[in-house]
Amino acid sequence: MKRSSKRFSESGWTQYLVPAVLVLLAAGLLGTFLVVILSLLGVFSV
Amino acid sequence: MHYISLLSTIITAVFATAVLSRYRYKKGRHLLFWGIGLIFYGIGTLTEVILGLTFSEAALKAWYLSGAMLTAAWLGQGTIFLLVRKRGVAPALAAALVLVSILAVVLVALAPINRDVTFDVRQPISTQYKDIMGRSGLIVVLTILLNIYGTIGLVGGAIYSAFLFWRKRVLANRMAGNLLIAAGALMPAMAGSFVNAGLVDWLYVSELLGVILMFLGFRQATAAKEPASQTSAVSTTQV
Repeated sequence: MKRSSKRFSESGWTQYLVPAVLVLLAAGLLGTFLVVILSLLGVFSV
Repeated sequence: MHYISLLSTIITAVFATAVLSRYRYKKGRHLLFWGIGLIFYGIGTLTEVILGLTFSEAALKAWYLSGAMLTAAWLGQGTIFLLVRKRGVAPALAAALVLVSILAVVLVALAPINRDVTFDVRQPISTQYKDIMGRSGLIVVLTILLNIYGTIGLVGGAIYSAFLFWRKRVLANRMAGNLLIAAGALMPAMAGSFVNAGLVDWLYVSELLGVILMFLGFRQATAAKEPASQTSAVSTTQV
């Protein structure tokens, strides 16, 4: 089977940095929703 | 005058033009919704510029409607078109979004303005709008729902796409592009939720950084030409 020419070679940043950034972004997304939920619950005094 | 918003408006105009130009020859509905979403983004930042010069009820309502309610949802809908391949689902969601957007236009147009409050052009509108524009419960609920929908679609979709490219170790440019898009889209989403919660207001800066990162991400993801042999699930995450 022919391998795709679009594959990229493994390097330090694809092995460690990308998953770390993905986790940070996912945490930011969840944190954003957490702030929305907490503000709906009246935790923050506006 | 708020120069940050002016810069955001200029960059957003260039970005929207690039996306809509791509739509002209690629014809993907995701590009159309992204383009419209970016026009809303630009209206939001442009009205911030106007409100930095003088108070205008129309500008305030256009700011709230475009910036606070519609931008994220329409951008997110673009990504929904890209990622949701089950027949009929994305068009149905798009139709619902159009109806909700029309409802939002009507509700915001009818929202009362409190003229007893003194408007300060030196302060960002995000710190003043709650005292000036009366928002019904339905407006608030719609604002939250539209932003959650859009943020899940745009940020979640970009994170998911980047993860797929990373897991398959293919198309490094698209993986990097989606990471940038996710980071850029997350900034105004976070800032907007902070404003809504009455926390620190960094909305204007987040809009500028956000549009720069998303534009860089879009450029990165669309930079390389695709060979005709491209297939598989990865093709569903094209931009």
